Amino acid sequence: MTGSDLAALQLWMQRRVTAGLWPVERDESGIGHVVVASAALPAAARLGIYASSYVARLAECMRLEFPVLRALIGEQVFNLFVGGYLSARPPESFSLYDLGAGFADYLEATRPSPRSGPAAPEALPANLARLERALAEAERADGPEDAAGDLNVPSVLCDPRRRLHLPGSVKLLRLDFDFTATLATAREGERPVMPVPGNTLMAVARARYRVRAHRLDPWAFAWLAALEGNGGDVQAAIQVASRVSGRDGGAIVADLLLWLPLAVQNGFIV
Amino acid sequence: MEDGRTALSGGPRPRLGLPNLGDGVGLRGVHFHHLMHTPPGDWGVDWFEIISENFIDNRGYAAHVLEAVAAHRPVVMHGVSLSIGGMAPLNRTYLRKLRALADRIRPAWVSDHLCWTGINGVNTHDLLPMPLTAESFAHVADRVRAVQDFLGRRLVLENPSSYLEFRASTMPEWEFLGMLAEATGCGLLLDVNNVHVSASNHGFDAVRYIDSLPAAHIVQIHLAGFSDCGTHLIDTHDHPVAAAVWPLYMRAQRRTGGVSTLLEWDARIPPFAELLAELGKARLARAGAMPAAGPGPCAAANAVSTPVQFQLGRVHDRV
Repeated sequence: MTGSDLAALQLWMQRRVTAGLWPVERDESGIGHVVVASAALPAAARLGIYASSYVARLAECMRLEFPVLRALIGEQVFNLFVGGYLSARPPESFSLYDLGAGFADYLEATRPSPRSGPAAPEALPANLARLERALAEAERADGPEDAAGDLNVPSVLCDPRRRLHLPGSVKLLRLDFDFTATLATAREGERPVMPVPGNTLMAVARARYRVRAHRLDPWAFAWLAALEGNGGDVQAAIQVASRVSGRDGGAIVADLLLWLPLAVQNGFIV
Repeated sequence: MEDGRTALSGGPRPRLGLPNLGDGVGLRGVHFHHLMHTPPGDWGVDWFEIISENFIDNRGYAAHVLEAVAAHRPVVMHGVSLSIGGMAPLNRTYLRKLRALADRIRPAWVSDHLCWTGINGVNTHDLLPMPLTAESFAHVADRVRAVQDFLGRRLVLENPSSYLEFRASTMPEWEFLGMLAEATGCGLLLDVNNVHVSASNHGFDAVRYIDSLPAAHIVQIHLAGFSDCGTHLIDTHDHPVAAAVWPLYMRAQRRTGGVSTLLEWDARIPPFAELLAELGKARLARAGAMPAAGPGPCAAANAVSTPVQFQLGRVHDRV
Protein backbone atom coordinates (compact mmCIF):
# COMPACT_ATOMS: atom_id res chain seq x y z
CA MET A 1 0.00 0.00 0.00
CA THR A 2 1.53 3.31 -1.09
CA GLY A 3 0.76 6.78 0.17
CA SER A 4 -1.62 7.30 -2.72
CA ASP A 5 -3.27 3.97 -1.88
CA LEU A 6 -3.76 5.18 1.70
CA ALA A 7 -5.30 8.42 0.46
CA ALA A 8 -7.58 6.49 -1.90
CA LEU A 9 -8.65 4.17 0.90
CA GLN A 10 -9.41 7.07 3.24
CA LEU A 11 -11.39 8.84 0.54
CA TRP A 12 -13.24 5.61 -0.20
CA MET A 13 -14.11 5.06 3.44
CA GLN A 14 -15.08 8.67 4.06
CA ARG A 15 -17.48 8.68 1.09
CA ARG A 16 -19.22 5.62 2.47
CA VAL A 17 -19.23 6.77 6.10
CA THR A 18 -20.85 10.03 5.07
CA ALA A 19 -23.15 8.38 2.52
CA GLY A 20 -26.15 8.87 4.75
CA LEU A 21 -25.88 12.57 4.06
CA TRP A 22 -25.18 12.69 0.38
CA PRO A 23 -25.89 10.12 -2.33
CA VAL A 24 -23.05 7.79 -3.18
CA GLU A 25 -23.06 4.74 -5.36
CA ARG A 26 -23.85 1.70 -3.22
CA ASP A 27 -21.33 -1.01 -3.94
CA GLU A 28 -21.66 -3.43 -1.10
CA SER A 29 -19.85 -6.22 -2.93
CA GLY A 30 -16.91 -3.85 -3.33
CA ILE A 31 -16.81 -3.25 0.41
CA GLY A 32 -15.86 -6.86 0.98
CA HIS A 33 -12.75 -6.35 -1.13
CA VAL A 34 -11.53 -3.69 1.28
CA VAL A 35 -13.03 -4.57 4.67
CA VAL A 36 -12.81 -7.94 6.41
CA ALA A 37 -16.09 -9.45 7.60
CA SER A 38 -16.25 -10.57 11.24
CA ALA A 39 -17.78 -13.78 12.53
CA ALA A 40 -20.96 -11.86 13.36
CA LEU A 41 -21.12 -9.10 10.77
CA PRO A 42 -20.59 -8.80 7.00
CA ALA A 43 -18.13 -6.17 5.84
CA ALA A 44 -20.81 -3.68 4.78
CA ALA A 45 -22.46 -3.84 8.20
CA ARG A 46 -19.11 -3.14 9.91
CA LEU A 47 -18.64 -0.07 7.74
CA GLY A 48 -22.24 0.85 8.50
CA ILE A 49 -21.39 1.22 12.20
CA TYR A 50 -19.23 4.21 11.30
CA ALA A 51 -21.85 5.60 8.89
CA SER A 52 -24.67 5.48 11.44
CA SER A 53 -22.47 6.95 14.17
CA TYR A 54 -21.47 9.81 11.86
CA VAL A 55 -25.06 10.86 11.25
CA ALA A 56 -26.15 10.34 14.86
CA ARG A 57 -23.19 12.24 16.30
CA LEU A 58 -23.62 15.34 14.13
CA ALA A 59 -27.39 15.37 14.57
CA GLU A 60 -26.90 15.22 18.33
CA CYS A 61 -24.58 18.21 18.16
CA MET A 62 -27.20 20.20 16.29
CA ARG A 63 -29.90 19.20 18.79
CA LEU A 64 -27.69 20.42 21.64
CA GLU A 65 -26.98 23.73 19.96
CA PHE A 66 -30.54 24.51 18.80
CA PRO A 67 -32.80 23.08 21.53
CA VAL A 68 -35.48 25.78 21.36
CA LEU A 69 -35.84 25.60 17.58
CA ARG A 70 -36.08 21.82 17.82
CA ALA A 71 -38.78 22.05 20.49
CA LEU A 72 -40.71 24.70 18.57
CA ILE A 73 -40.81 23.05 15.14
CA GLY A 74 -40.76 19.43 16.29
CA GLU A 75 -38.25 16.62 15.99
CA GLN A 76 -39.24 15.49 12.50
CA VAL A 77 -38.99 18.88 10.81
CA PHE A 78 -35.83 19.73 12.74
CA ASN A 79 -34.19 16.50 11.56
CA LEU A 80 -35.13 17.32 7.95
CA PHE A 81 -33.51 20.73 8.26
CA VAL A 82 -30.40 19.26 9.88
CA GLY A 83 -30.07 16.51 7.28
CA GLY A 84 -30.25 19.05 4.48
CA TYR A 85 -27.79 21.38 6.18
CA LEU A 86 -25.20 18.69 6.86
CA SER A 87 -25.50 17.35 3.32
CA ALA A 88 -24.99 20.82 1.90
CA ARG A 89 -22.21 21.72 4.35
CA PRO A 90 -20.38 18.70 5.74
CA PRO A 91 -18.25 19.58 8.76
CA GLU A 92 -14.83 20.97 7.99
CA SER A 93 -13.64 22.45 11.27
CA PHE A 94 -11.69 20.50 13.90
CA SER A 95 -14.17 21.89 16.41
CA LEU A 96 -17.73 20.65 16.82
CA TYR A 97 -18.55 24.11 18.13
CA ASP A 98 -18.29 25.34 14.54
CA LEU A 99 -20.80 22.83 13.23
CA GLY A 100 -23.85 25.06 13.59
CA ALA A 101 -22.19 28.28 12.43
CA GLY A 102 -23.88 28.33 9.02
CA PHE A 103 -27.25 26.84 10.00
CA ALA A 104 -29.20 30.11 10.12
CA ASP A 105 -27.85 31.22 6.73
CA TYR A 106 -28.70 27.81 5.28
CA LEU A 107 -32.27 28.01 6.59
CA GLU A 108 -32.62 31.54 5.24
CA ALA A 109 -31.29 30.56 1.82
CA THR A 110 -33.56 27.53 1.54
CA ARG A 111 -36.80 28.88 3.02
CA PRO A 112 -39.71 27.92 0.78
CA SER A 113 -41.04 31.43 0.09
CA PRO A 114 -38.09 33.82 0.16
CA ARG A 115 -40.25 36.78 -0.90
CA SER A 116 -43.01 36.18 1.61
CA GLY A 117 -41.91 39.01 3.89
CA PRO A 118 -39.64 39.26 6.90
CA ALA A 119 -42.07 38.08 9.58
CA ALA A 120 -43.73 35.33 7.55
CA PRO A 121 -43.86 31.95 9.31
CA GLU A 122 -41.23 30.63 6.88
CA ALA A 123 -38.75 33.15 8.28
CA LEU A 124 -39.07 31.84 11.82
CA PRO A 125 -36.55 28.93 11.75
CA ALA A 126 -33.70 31.07 10.38
CA ASN A 127 -34.43 33.83 12.90
CA LEU A 128 -34.48 31.48 15.86
CA ALA A 129 -31.39 29.62 14.64
CA ARG A 130 -29.55 32.95 14.41
CA LEU A 131 -30.53 33.75 17.99
CA GLU A 132 -29.55 30.32 19.34
CA ARG A 133 -26.22 30.43 17.51
CA ALA A 134 -25.54 33.82 19.10
CA LEU A 135 -26.30 32.34 22.52
CA ALA A 136 -23.85 29.50 21.87
CA GLU A 137 -21.11 31.84 20.64
CA ALA A 138 -21.55 34.18 23.61
CA GLU A 139 -20.95 31.29 25.97
CA ARG A 140 -17.39 30.76 24.69
CA ALA A 141 -16.37 34.28 23.64
CA ASP A 142 -14.31 36.83 25.55
CA GLY A 143 -16.65 38.10 28.24
CA PRO A 144 -16.85 40.97 30.71
CA GLU A 145 -16.02 38.90 33.79
CA ASP A 146 -12.45 40.14 34.24
CA ALA A 147 -13.26 43.80 33.62
CA ALA A 148 -13.65 46.36 36.40
CA GLY A 149 -17.31 46.36 37.34
CA ASP A 150 -17.87 49.93 38.48
CA LEU A 151 -18.55 52.74 36.05
CA ASN A 152 -18.67 56.42 36.94
CA VAL A 153 -21.56 57.23 34.65
CA PRO A 154 -21.42 61.07 34.75
CA SER A 155 -17.69 60.94 34.07
CA VAL A 156 -18.19 58.56 31.14
CA LEU A 157 -20.79 60.86 29.56
CA CYS A 158 -18.82 64.06 30.11
CA ASP A 159 -15.31 62.96 29.17
CA PRO A 160 -14.89 63.12 25.36
CA ARG A 161 -11.80 60.89 25.54
CA ARG A 162 -13.58 58.08 27.36
CA ARG A 163 -14.01 54.83 25.46
CA LEU A 164 -16.33 51.93 26.20
CA HIS A 165 -16.21 48.58 24.48
CA LEU A 166 -18.50 45.66 23.75
CA PRO A 167 -16.95 42.35 24.87
CA GLY A 168 -16.83 39.55 22.31
CA SER A 169 -19.71 37.89 24.13
CA VAL A 170 -22.15 40.64 23.02
CA LYS A 171 -24.06 39.85 19.83
CA LEU A 172 -26.45 42.47 18.44
CA LEU A 173 -29.32 40.99 16.44
CA ARG A 174 -32.11 42.43 14.29
CA LEU A 175 -34.82 39.81 14.24
CA ASP A 176 -38.25 39.53 12.63
CA PHE A 177 -39.84 38.03 15.74
CA ASP A 178 -39.84 38.74 19.45
CA PHE A 179 -38.56 35.54 21.05
CA THR A 180 -38.63 36.86 24.62
CA ALA A 181 -41.55 34.68 25.74
CA THR A 182 -40.30 31.77 23.62
CA LEU A 183 -36.97 31.70 25.44
CA ALA A 184 -38.60 32.27 28.83
CA THR A 185 -40.88 29.25 28.46
CA ALA A 186 -38.00 27.12 27.20
CA ARG A 187 -35.90 28.17 30.19
CA GLU A 188 -38.68 26.97 32.49
CA GLY A 189 -38.65 23.59 30.79
CA GLU A 190 -42.02 24.16 29.18
CA ARG A 191 -42.92 23.81 25.53
CA PRO A 192 -41.76 27.12 24.00
CA VAL A 193 -44.55 29.46 22.93
CA MET A 194 -44.69 30.79 19.38
CA PRO A 195 -42.94 34.16 19.02
CA VAL A 196 -44.74 37.36 18.21
CA PRO A 197 -43.96 38.66 14.67
CA GLY A 198 -42.40 42.11 14.48
CA ASN A 199 -39.09 43.92 14.22
CA THR A 200 -37.13 43.13 17.37
CA LEU A 201 -33.74 44.43 18.43
CA MET A 202 -31.83 42.17 20.77
CA ALA A 203 -28.49 41.95 22.52
CA VAL A 204 -27.21 38.55 23.51
CA ALA A 205 -24.73 39.08 26.34
CA ARG A 206 -22.95 37.29 29.13
CA ALA A 207 -22.57 38.44 32.71
CA ARG A 208 -21.04 36.38 35.52
CA TYR A 209 -20.82 33.57 32.94
CA ARG A 210 -24.57 33.49 32.37
CA VAL A 211 -25.78 34.19 28.86
CA ARG A 212 -29.04 36.03 28.30
CA ALA A 213 -30.94 37.57 25.38
CA HIS A 214 -32.20 41.12 26.08
CA ARG A 215 -34.71 43.12 24.07
CA LEU A 216 -33.45 46.67 23.45
CA ASP A 217 -35.03 50.03 22.61
CA PRO A 218 -33.99 51.36 19.19
CA TRP A 219 -31.81 54.15 20.66
CA ALA A 220 -29.92 51.70 22.93
CA PHE A 221 -29.41 49.24 20.09
CA ALA A 222 -28.14 52.03 17.84
CA TRP A 223 -25.83 53.35 20.57
CA LEU A 224 -24.29 49.91 21.20
CA ALA A 225 -23.91 49.25 17.47
CA ALA A 226 -22.26 52.64 16.97
CA LEU A 227 -19.98 52.05 19.93
CA GLU A 228 -18.89 48.79 18.34
CA GLY A 229 -18.27 50.46 14.99
CA ASN A 230 -16.59 53.63 16.23
CA GLY A 231 -13.79 52.34 18.43
CA GLY A 232 -15.77 52.88 21.60
CA ASP A 233 -16.23 56.65 21.19
CA VAL A 234 -19.13 57.37 23.56
CA GLN A 235 -19.98 60.83 22.20
CA ALA A 236 -19.88 59.76 18.56
CA ALA A 237 -22.14 56.84 19.42
CA ILE A 238 -24.64 59.25 21.03
CA GLN A 239 -24.77 61.27 17.81
CA VAL A 240 -25.36 58.16 15.74
CA ALA A 241 -28.03 56.91 18.13
CA SER A 242 -29.74 60.29 17.93
CA ARG A 243 -29.72 60.25 14.14
CA VAL A 244 -30.90 56.64 13.85
CA SER A 245 -33.64 56.84 16.49
CA GLY A 246 -34.78 60.37 15.66
CA ARG A 247 -34.42 61.39 19.30
CA ASP A 248 -32.66 64.43 20.67
CA GLY A 249 -29.07 63.81 21.80
CA GLY A 250 -29.83 65.31 25.22
CA ALA A 251 -32.65 62.85 25.73
CA ILE A 252 -30.31 59.99 24.91
CA VAL A 253 -27.75 61.29 27.42
CA ALA A 254 -30.50 61.43 30.03
CA ASP A 255 -31.51 57.85 29.26
CA LEU A 256 -27.88 56.70 29.34
CA LEU A 257 -27.48 58.12 32.85
CA LEU A 258 -30.06 55.62 34.06
CA TRP A 259 -29.35 52.79 31.64
CA LEU A 260 -25.55 52.51 31.71
CA PRO A 261 -25.33 50.81 35.14
CA LEU A 262 -27.79 48.20 33.86
CA ALA A 263 -25.76 47.83 30.66
CA VAL A 264 -22.65 47.08 32.72
CA GLN A 265 -24.58 44.67 34.92
CA ASN A 266 -25.87 42.79 31.85
CA GLY A 267 -22.39 42.58 30.34
CA PHE A 268 -23.13 44.86 27.34
CA ILE A 269 -20.09 47.08 27.87
CA VAL A 270 -16.74 47.13 29.64
CA MET B 1 7.03 16.65 35.21
CA GLU B 2 7.22 19.57 32.85
CA ASP B 3 5.53 22.09 35.12
CA GLY B 4 7.38 20.99 38.21
CA ARG B 5 4.32 19.67 40.03
CA THR B 6 4.77 16.63 42.21
CA ALA B 7 2.71 13.57 41.34
CA LEU B 8 0.19 12.99 44.09
CA SER B 9 0.41 9.23 44.20
CA GLY B 10 3.92 8.86 42.81
CA GLY B 11 4.63 5.66 40.95
CA PRO B 12 7.84 3.74 41.33
CA ARG B 13 9.57 5.54 38.46
CA PRO B 14 8.66 8.08 35.83
CA ARG B 15 8.03 6.56 32.42
CA LEU B 16 9.53 8.53 29.54
CA GLY B 17 10.02 11.24 32.13
CA LEU B 18 6.28 11.36 32.79
CA PRO B 19 5.05 10.70 36.33
CA ASN B 20 2.34 8.43 37.69
CA LEU B 21 -0.37 10.98 38.43
CA GLY B 22 -2.56 8.51 40.31
CA ASP B 23 -6.29 8.09 39.63
CA GLY B 24 -8.12 10.72 37.57
CA VAL B 25 -11.36 11.48 35.80
CA GLY B 26 -12.38 13.53 32.78
CA LEU B 27 -13.26 17.16 33.46
CA ARG B 28 -16.86 17.45 32.23
CA GLY B 29 -19.36 20.33 32.26
CA VAL B 30 -21.93 18.48 34.34
CA HIS B 31 -19.47 18.42 37.24
CA PHE B 32 -18.34 22.06 37.07
CA HIS B 33 -20.81 23.20 39.72
CA HIS B 34 -19.78 20.45 42.12
CA LEU B 35 -16.08 21.16 41.69
CA MET B 36 -16.44 24.92 42.03
CA HIS B 37 -18.46 24.54 45.22
CA THR B 38 -16.29 21.86 46.83
CA PRO B 39 -12.92 22.54 48.47
CA PRO B 40 -10.17 21.06 46.27
CA GLY B 41 -9.04 18.94 49.20
CA ASP B 42 -12.37 17.13 49.05
CA TRP B 43 -12.44 16.48 45.29
CA GLY B 44 -11.30 12.91 45.87
CA VAL B 45 -9.38 12.67 42.63
CA ASP B 46 -5.66 12.97 41.87
CA TRP B 47 -5.82 14.56 38.43
CA PHE B 48 -8.08 15.55 35.54
CA GLU B 49 -8.05 14.91 31.81
CA ILE B 50 -9.62 17.48 29.51
CA ILE B 51 -10.80 17.11 25.93
CA SER B 52 -8.48 19.63 24.31
CA GLU B 53 -11.03 20.77 21.71
CA ASN B 54 -13.49 21.77 24.45
CA PHE B 55 -11.09 24.41 25.70
CA ILE B 56 -9.46 25.65 22.50
CA ASP B 57 -10.87 29.13 21.71
CA ASN B 58 -12.95 28.97 24.87
CA ARG B 59 -13.01 32.14 27.00
CA GLY B 60 -16.13 31.24 28.94
CA TYR B 61 -17.02 29.48 32.14
CA ALA B 62 -15.32 26.24 31.09
CA ALA B 63 -12.01 28.09 30.79
CA HIS B 64 -12.60 29.69 34.19
CA VAL B 65 -13.21 26.26 35.76
CA LEU B 66 -10.16 24.79 34.05
CA GLU B 67 -7.96 27.52 35.50
CA ALA B 68 -9.31 26.81 38.97
CA VAL B 69 -8.84 23.06 38.57
CA ALA B 70 -5.35 23.34 37.11
CA ALA B 71 -4.30 25.45 40.08
CA HIS B 72 -4.92 22.46 42.36
CA ARG B 73 -4.45 19.29 40.31
CA PRO B 74 -2.35 18.07 37.38
CA VAL B 75 -4.19 18.24 34.07
CA VAL B 76 -3.64 16.17 30.91
CA MET B 77 -4.81 17.34 27.47
CA HIS B 78 -6.52 14.60 25.46
CA GLY B 79 -7.45 15.45 21.88
CA VAL B 80 -9.78 13.98 19.25
CA SER B 81 -8.92 16.06 16.17
CA LEU B 82 -5.20 15.60 15.51
CA SER B 83 -5.84 13.01 12.76
CA ILE B 84 -2.34 11.64 13.09
CA GLY B 85 -3.06 8.97 10.49
CA GLY B 86 -4.83 11.22 8.00
CA MET B 87 -3.54 11.82 4.50
CA ALA B 88 -4.59 15.48 4.65
CA PRO B 89 -1.71 17.74 5.72
CA LEU B 90 -1.43 18.33 9.44
CA ASN B 91 -3.74 21.18 10.43
CA ARG B 92 -1.30 23.90 11.48
CA THR B 93 -4.06 26.13 12.82
CA TYR B 94 -5.21 23.35 15.10
CA LEU B 95 -1.64 22.61 16.19
CA ARG B 96 -0.99 26.27 16.97
CA LYS B 97 -4.12 26.44 19.10
CA LEU B 98 -3.22 23.17 20.80
CA ARG B 99 0.22 24.50 21.60
CA ALA B 100 -1.21 27.78 22.88
CA LEU B 101 -3.57 25.89 25.21
CA ALA B 102 -0.68 23.76 26.44
CA ASP B 103 1.39 26.88 27.07
CA ARG B 104 -1.49 28.29 29.11
CA ILE B 105 -2.42 25.32 31.29
CA ARG B 106 0.90 23.43 31.28
CA PRO B 107 -0.49 19.89 31.08
CA ALA B 108 1.44 16.87 32.34
CA TRP B 109 1.25 15.59 28.74
CA VAL B 110 -0.73 15.85 25.51
CA SER B 111 -2.44 12.83 23.96
CA ASP B 112 -4.61 11.87 21.00
CA HIS B 113 -5.55 8.69 19.12
CA LEU B 114 -4.07 6.41 16.49
CA CYS B 115 -6.67 7.24 13.86
CA TRP B 116 -7.67 9.62 11.10
CA THR B 117 -10.68 11.94 11.19
CA GLY B 118 -11.21 13.07 7.59
CA ILE B 119 -9.80 13.89 4.18
CA ASN B 120 -10.44 16.43 1.41
CA GLY B 121 -11.46 19.15 3.82
CA VAL B 122 -14.10 17.10 5.66
CA ASN B 123 -13.88 16.28 9.35
CA THR B 124 -16.10 13.34 10.29
CA HIS B 125 -15.49 13.91 14.01
CA ASP B 126 -14.92 10.19 14.40
CA LEU B 127 -11.81 8.19 15.26
CA LEU B 128 -11.54 6.25 12.00
CA PRO B 129 -9.33 3.14 11.82
CA MET B 130 -6.00 2.89 10.05
CA PRO B 131 -4.93 0.14 7.68
CA LEU B 132 -2.01 -1.38 9.56
CA THR B 133 0.70 -1.61 6.92
CA ALA B 134 4.37 -0.70 6.62
CA GLU B 135 3.44 2.27 4.45
CA SER B 136 0.86 3.70 6.83
CA PHE B 137 3.33 3.10 9.67
CA ALA B 138 5.93 5.24 7.90
CA HIS B 139 3.31 7.92 7.28
CA VAL B 140 2.15 8.02 10.91
CA ALA B 141 5.70 7.92 12.28
CA ASP B 142 6.66 10.95 10.16
CA ARG B 143 3.66 12.84 11.44
CA VAL B 144 4.27 11.92 15.08
CA ARG B 145 7.80 13.30 14.76
CA ALA B 146 6.46 16.46 13.13
CA VAL B 147 3.88 16.99 15.85
CA GLN B 148 6.39 16.38 18.62
CA ASP B 149 8.75 18.90 17.01
CA PHE B 150 5.94 21.44 16.68
CA LEU B 151 4.64 21.03 20.22
CA GLY B 152 8.09 20.73 21.71
CA ARG B 153 6.97 17.82 23.81
CA ARG B 154 6.39 14.10 23.64
CA LEU B 155 3.06 12.99 22.11
CA VAL B 156 1.07 10.21 23.75
CA LEU B 157 -1.15 8.08 21.49
CA GLU B 158 -4.14 5.95 22.44
CA ASN B 159 -5.33 2.72 20.87
CA PRO B 160 -8.87 3.42 19.63
CA SER B 161 -11.84 1.07 19.63
CA SER B 162 -12.48 -0.15 16.11
CA TYR B 163 -15.36 -1.82 14.35
CA LEU B 164 -13.73 -3.00 11.14
CA GLU B 165 -10.40 -4.27 9.85
CA PHE B 166 -8.90 -3.69 6.41
CA ARG B 167 -7.82 -6.49 4.13
CA ALA B 168 -4.71 -4.47 3.38
CA SER B 169 -3.48 -4.69 6.99
CA THR B 170 -0.32 -6.74 7.41
CA MET B 171 0.31 -6.46 11.15
CA PRO B 172 -1.70 -6.41 14.38
CA GLU B 173 -2.40 -3.10 16.09
CA TRP B 174 -0.15 -3.87 19.07
CA GLU B 175 2.78 -4.39 16.72
CA PHE B 176 2.02 -1.15 14.88
CA LEU B 177 1.77 0.84 18.13
CA GLY B 178 4.85 -0.79 19.64
CA MET B 179 6.95 -0.03 16.57
CA LEU B 180 5.60 3.51 16.52
CA ALA B 181 6.51 4.12 20.16
CA GLU B 182 10.01 2.77 19.71
CA ALA B 183 10.63 4.60 16.42
CA THR B 184 9.37 8.01 17.52
CA GLY B 185 9.72 7.93 21.30
CA CYS B 186 6.02 8.71 21.70
CA GLY B 187 4.17 7.52 24.77
CA LEU B 188 1.24 5.12 24.75
CA LEU B 189 -2.15 5.62 26.33
CA LEU B 190 -3.41 2.09 26.78
CA ASP B 191 -7.20 2.02 26.82
CA VAL B 192 -7.96 -1.41 28.21
CA ASN B 193 -11.66 -1.01 27.45
CA ASN B 194 -10.78 -0.33 23.81
CA VAL B 195 -8.57 -3.41 23.77
CA HIS B 196 -11.51 -5.48 24.99
CA VAL B 197 -13.95 -3.89 22.52
CA SER B 198 -11.64 -4.36 19.52
CA ALA B 199 -10.60 -7.86 20.62
CA SER B 200 -14.25 -8.85 20.81
CA ASN B 201 -15.08 -7.22 17.46
CA HIS B 202 -12.10 -8.67 15.60
CA GLY B 203 -11.49 -11.91 17.46
CA PHE B 204 -7.96 -11.33 18.72
CA ASP B 205 -6.52 -12.12 22.14
CA ALA B 206 -6.74 -9.07 24.44
CA VAL B 207 -4.11 -10.43 26.83
CA ARG B 208 -1.65 -10.93 23.99
CA TYR B 209 -2.31 -7.33 22.90
CA ILE B 210 -1.39 -5.98 26.34
CA ASP B 211 1.59 -8.30 26.79
CA SER B 212 3.01 -7.34 23.39
CA LEU B 213 3.13 -3.57 23.86
CA PRO B 214 6.44 -2.06 25.00
CA ALA B 215 5.62 -1.51 28.68
CA ALA B 216 8.22 1.22 29.10
CA HIS B 217 6.23 3.46 26.73
CA ILE B 218 2.85 3.09 28.46
CA VAL B 219 2.29 6.27 30.48
CA GLN B 220 -1.45 6.14 31.06
CA ILE B 221 -4.37 3.72 31.16
CA HIS B 222 -7.97 4.51 30.22
CA LEU B 223 -10.94 2.75 31.79
CA ALA B 224 -14.46 3.11 30.42
CA GLY B 225 -17.70 1.28 29.73
CA PHE B 226 -19.03 -0.01 26.41
CA SER B 227 -22.36 -1.02 24.89
CA ASP B 228 -23.11 -4.52 23.66
CA CYS B 229 -25.04 -4.45 20.39
CA GLY B 230 -25.23 -8.23 20.10
CA THR B 231 -23.12 -8.59 16.99
CA HIS B 232 -20.46 -6.16 18.15
CA LEU B 233 -19.38 -3.92 21.02
CA ILE B 234 -19.30 -0.11 20.79
CA ASP B 235 -17.15 2.16 22.91
CA THR B 236 -19.89 4.44 24.27
CA HIS B 237 -18.36 5.63 27.57
CA ASP B 238 -21.80 5.52 29.16
CA HIS B 239 -21.55 2.54 31.52
CA PRO B 240 -19.48 1.35 34.47
CA VAL B 241 -16.35 -0.59 33.59
CA ALA B 242 -17.30 -4.12 32.50
CA ALA B 243 -16.17 -7.21 34.42
CA ALA B 244 -14.11 -8.44 31.47
CA VAL B 245 -12.05 -5.23 31.45
CA TRP B 246 -10.79 -5.30 35.06
CA PRO B 247 -8.43 -8.26 34.57
CA LEU B 248 -6.91 -6.44 31.59
CA TYR B 249 -6.41 -3.37 33.76
CA MET B 250 -4.76 -5.41 36.50
CA ARG B 251 -2.49 -7.05 33.96
CA ALA B 252 -1.49 -3.72 32.43
CA GLN B 253 -0.73 -2.24 35.84
CA ARG B 254 1.40 -5.25 36.75
CA ARG B 255 3.27 -5.05 33.45
CA THR B 256 4.02 -1.37 33.81
CA GLY B 257 4.67 -1.30 37.52
CA GLY B 258 2.04 1.39 37.96
CA VAL B 259 0.90 4.17 35.65
CA SER B 260 -1.73 6.93 35.71
CA THR B 261 -5.33 5.72 35.53
CA LEU B 262 -8.16 7.72 34.00
CA LEU B 263 -11.85 6.80 34.09
CA GLU B 264 -13.76 8.07 31.03
CA TRP B 265 -17.52 8.61 31.28
CA ASP B 266 -18.86 10.80 28.50
CA ALA B 267 -22.55 10.08 28.02
CA ARG B 268 -25.26 9.63 30.66
CA ILE B 269 -22.61 10.97 33.02
CA PRO B 270 -23.40 10.17 36.68
CA PRO B 271 -23.02 12.53 39.65
CA PHE B 272 -19.43 13.07 40.76
CA ALA B 273 -19.78 10.80 43.81
CA GLU B 274 -20.78 7.87 41.59
CA LEU B 275 -17.89 8.60 39.29
CA LEU B 276 -15.52 8.47 42.26
CA ALA B 277 -17.02 5.18 43.42
CA GLU B 278 -16.29 3.65 40.02
CA LEU B 279 -12.80 5.14 39.99
CA GLY B 280 -12.22 3.68 43.47
CA LYS B 281 -12.48 0.20 41.96
CA ALA B 282 -9.17 0.82 40.20
CA ARG B 283 -7.42 1.09 43.55
CA LEU B 284 -9.03 -2.16 44.67
CA ALA B 285 -7.89 -3.84 41.48
CA ARG B 286 -4.31 -2.70 41.99
CA ALA B 287 -4.48 -4.16 45.49
CA GLY B 288 -5.36 -7.50 43.97
CA ALA B 289 -9.11 -7.59 44.55
CA MET B 290 -11.35 -8.09 41.56
CA PRO B 291 -13.79 -5.15 41.64
CA ALA B 292 -17.49 -5.82 41.60
CA ALA B 293 -18.65 -5.22 38.07
CA GLY B 294 -21.29 -2.62 37.45
CA PRO B 295 -24.55 -3.46 35.75
CA GLY B 296 -23.80 -5.29 32.52
CA PRO B 297 -23.59 -3.23 29.36
CA CYS B 298 -27.05 -3.22 27.88
CA ALA B 299 -27.84 -3.95 24.29
CA ALA B 300 -28.05 -0.69 22.42
CA ALA B 301 -29.25 -0.70 18.85
CA ASN B 302 -28.51 2.99 18.35
CA ALA B 303 -25.27 3.18 20.28
CA VAL B 304 -22.92 5.91 19.06
CA SER B 305 -19.17 5.74 19.40
CA THR B 306 -17.29 8.87 20.46
CA PRO B 307 -20.28 10.54 22.16
CA VAL B 308 -20.57 14.32 21.96
CA GLN B 309 -22.76 15.31 24.89
CA PHE B 310 -19.73 16.02 26.98
CA GLN B 311 -18.44 18.37 24.31
CA LEU B 312 -21.43 20.51 23.47
CA GLY B 313 -23.62 20.17 26.52
CA ARG B 314 -24.44 23.48 28.11
CA VAL B 315 -22.36 24.26 31.14
CA HIS B 316 -24.83 26.96 32.12
CA ASP B 317 -28.34 27.97 31.45
CA ARG B 318 -27.92 30.45 28.61
CA VAL B 319 -31.35 31.67 27.56
